[in-house]
Amino acid sequence: MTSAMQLSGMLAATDPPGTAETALFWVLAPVTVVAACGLLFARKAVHAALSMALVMIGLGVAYLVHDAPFLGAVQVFVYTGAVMMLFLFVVMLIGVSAADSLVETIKGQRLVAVVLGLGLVLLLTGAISQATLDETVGLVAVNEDPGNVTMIAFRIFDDYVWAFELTGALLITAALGAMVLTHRERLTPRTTQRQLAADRIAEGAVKAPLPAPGVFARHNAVDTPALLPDGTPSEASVNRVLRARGQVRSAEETAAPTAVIQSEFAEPLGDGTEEGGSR
Amino acid sequence: MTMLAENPVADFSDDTIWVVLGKALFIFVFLVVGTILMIWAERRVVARMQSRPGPNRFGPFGLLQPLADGVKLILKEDITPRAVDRVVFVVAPIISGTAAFLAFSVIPFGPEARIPFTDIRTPLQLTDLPIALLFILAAAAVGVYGIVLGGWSSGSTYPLLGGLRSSAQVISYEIAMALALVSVFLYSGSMSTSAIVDAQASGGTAQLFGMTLDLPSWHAITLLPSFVIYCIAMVGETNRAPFDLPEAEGELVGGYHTEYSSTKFLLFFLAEYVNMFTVSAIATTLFLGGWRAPFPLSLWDGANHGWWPMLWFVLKVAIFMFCFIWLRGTLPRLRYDQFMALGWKWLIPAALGWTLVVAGLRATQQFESVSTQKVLIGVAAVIAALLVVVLFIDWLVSPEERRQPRQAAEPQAVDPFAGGYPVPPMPGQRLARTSGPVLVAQQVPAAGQDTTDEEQDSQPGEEARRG
Amino acid sequence: MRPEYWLYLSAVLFAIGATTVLVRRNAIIVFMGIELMLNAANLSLVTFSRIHGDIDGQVIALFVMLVAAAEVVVGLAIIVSIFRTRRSASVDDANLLKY
Repeated sequence: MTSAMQLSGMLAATDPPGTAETALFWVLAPVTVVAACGLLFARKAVHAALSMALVMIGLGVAYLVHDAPFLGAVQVFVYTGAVMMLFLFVVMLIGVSAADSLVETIKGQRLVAVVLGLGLVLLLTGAISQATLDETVGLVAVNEDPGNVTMIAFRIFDDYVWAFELTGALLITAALGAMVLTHRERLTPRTTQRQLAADRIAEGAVKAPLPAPGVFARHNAVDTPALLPDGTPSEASVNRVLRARGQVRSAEETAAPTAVIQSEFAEPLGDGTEEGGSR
Repeated sequence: MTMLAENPVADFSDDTIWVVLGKALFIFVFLVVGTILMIWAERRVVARMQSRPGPNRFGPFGLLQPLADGVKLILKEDITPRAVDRVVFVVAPIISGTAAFLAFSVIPFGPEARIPFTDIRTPLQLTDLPIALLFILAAAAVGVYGIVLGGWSSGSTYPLLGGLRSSAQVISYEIAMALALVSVFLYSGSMSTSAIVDAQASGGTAQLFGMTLDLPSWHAITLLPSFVIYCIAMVGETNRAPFDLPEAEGELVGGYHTEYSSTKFLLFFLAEYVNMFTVSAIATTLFLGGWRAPFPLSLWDGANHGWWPMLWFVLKVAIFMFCFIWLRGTLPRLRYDQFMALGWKWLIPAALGWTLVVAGLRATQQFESVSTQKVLIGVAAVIAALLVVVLFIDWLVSPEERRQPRQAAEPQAVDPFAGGYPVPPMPGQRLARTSGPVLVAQQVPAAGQDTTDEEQDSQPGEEARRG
Repeated sequence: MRPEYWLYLSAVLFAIGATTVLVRRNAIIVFMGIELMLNAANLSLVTFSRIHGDIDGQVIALFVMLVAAAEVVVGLAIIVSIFRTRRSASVDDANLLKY
């Protein structure tokens, strides 16, 4: 008795199906159905993609119950990990906040679509309820002896090897197609990092961090402009929001008491310093 | 044709629900304590590498520092910015944190052992599946959602860029990682962790030129290219330096978790470290023989029984964790395009080619009953022939100058004061004069003529060449 | 519990996917609806595989996944290139071939 079988056994995959599977079904089914409804009702594409990912994980767990551990893992790995991630990537690429428009372009289309959907549910459930199914055989024995992955490999590389080859060709074609579709011919030569750096400097704007407020000033509060080494207040050191509100203290105002203080210390300080400080 | 057993070898049939819960609790505690120790070790080791003491105030050797930091982090204010998408903003760190712990449920810490003070014998592993490695990859794939959604839901530029970078990064590196794992699956005949560890018990023997050789058993040796590719990919997968582009501080402030604070940030932080433990544990299990004792220790019979293997396992994981710290202390961050080029142009083709080689070797061994010796000789011959052909083609197509070393170009003389203020010479230039602010219009002497002594001092090669 | 409950779940999911394709205007969400329909079909394949004790159902489900992956790659590339030229991901705006 291997652990996988034990796991499936814990989920009661064997025949007769146990209560554990029933419990799991009644957890999984509402979760997947509600998440799938997210596709219908989510305004943002990201929310739809998220609920879709939840459906995928739910189905992956369902496959584990159905004696298909390989398929369950591949489902989560391929669908959640690659496909839905690709969806998310595209959603973020083409407008993150683009909420779907709620304008009905064809009159009454939504009503008709919902009626059709409900009709489809009725039709399918009716068909399933009318069908006579054989007694459940289960795949426990197959999973035990050659193993689930081995058995699938036998089938793929034996009975379905031609289909498998075709799928490989299809995947390569799809990859090529995606590259061709999203390819853009480069019209101008690629700008190198050196060129970019040269352009940045050539722009002439200040590239270093802006001076901090209050440097060399009487105050170091954010509303006090920094004084440059020559004593002039630096416009760039105060947030432009403060300047727009008119909350910037003038440099003269804060420098005025400085002159008094400096006159008291006139002896040790040289002329140049005093001049620079009081301006 | 020999068929390798696909299903796990560990036997969990005696586990009661209490044993399972106990194991789960142990894994949780192991990872959280490990994370705390790892944060401490990282700060201390990086500090040593940078010649500073590191945290040493709180507890012996500063051991309690990460605990204090963690408590401080939890007690901080939990800020939710106004622009965020509230539900996703809360869910993202939870996804990240939960998925990080999932993978450890299939990692074997050791063989079957008796739980102390009871008669229960159980494998030191929470569970195992025939598709355990796929399960780990799936858990990692779900974990990425935390990062991407955290970046998106923050409603801010830098986190979004960090999230996008991360999704592209993980998708790219997961391919190389999975391809590196394929050759291990081929050689172990299973995707279950316990079976893979079992397959590395003994490498068997080979007859090579009349001698009987014990083949190495660890996949790190027999499948060295896979191991190298996995090690590179695992650093990319965990967003650690030098591949920490999703949270590059210098470019993106904090990356995807810029807007997060308090407990939510803690979850992201925890997930990053637990992911490091996970990839290290996978590398140990798949390539370094898992819990099996390394060579000199393995001569002692008891080394692979009871609780000892857990020690070897933890030590091997610790070595990988040290390498993570070492990398961070040593290497600068890659630029994003360099990183993607490494993944797509080097790792994935290399992994594909190697997988092809391994599959071919495996098929000849399994289906054609050719001895290992013949296969190895054949492979060596093919590689040698390819090497000769490649070298010949390289010699044929190489330009003239590569066959005859090019002579150094004559340095061009420039006037450093021509623009009004002095500039240093560019490579391949030499200074016509070295002092004097007065602009002189007449000179820029032609190369090789009337140079002064100072210039010849700066160009020793030129003197030698002329003489 | 008999496995046909999973078939009912599959039917409901398929119908939700089909309705999504009919109702939604965003090309990406429409595309997700198609994926949901494929997944619902996969669920019934796997369920039938278990009922009949034949692993072929799982193999076919695997093929469906592969084909779906190829389809997603091309489909998303088309959506992206339409978005580049028309600045919109709505299926209403890609109407040039209508006339």
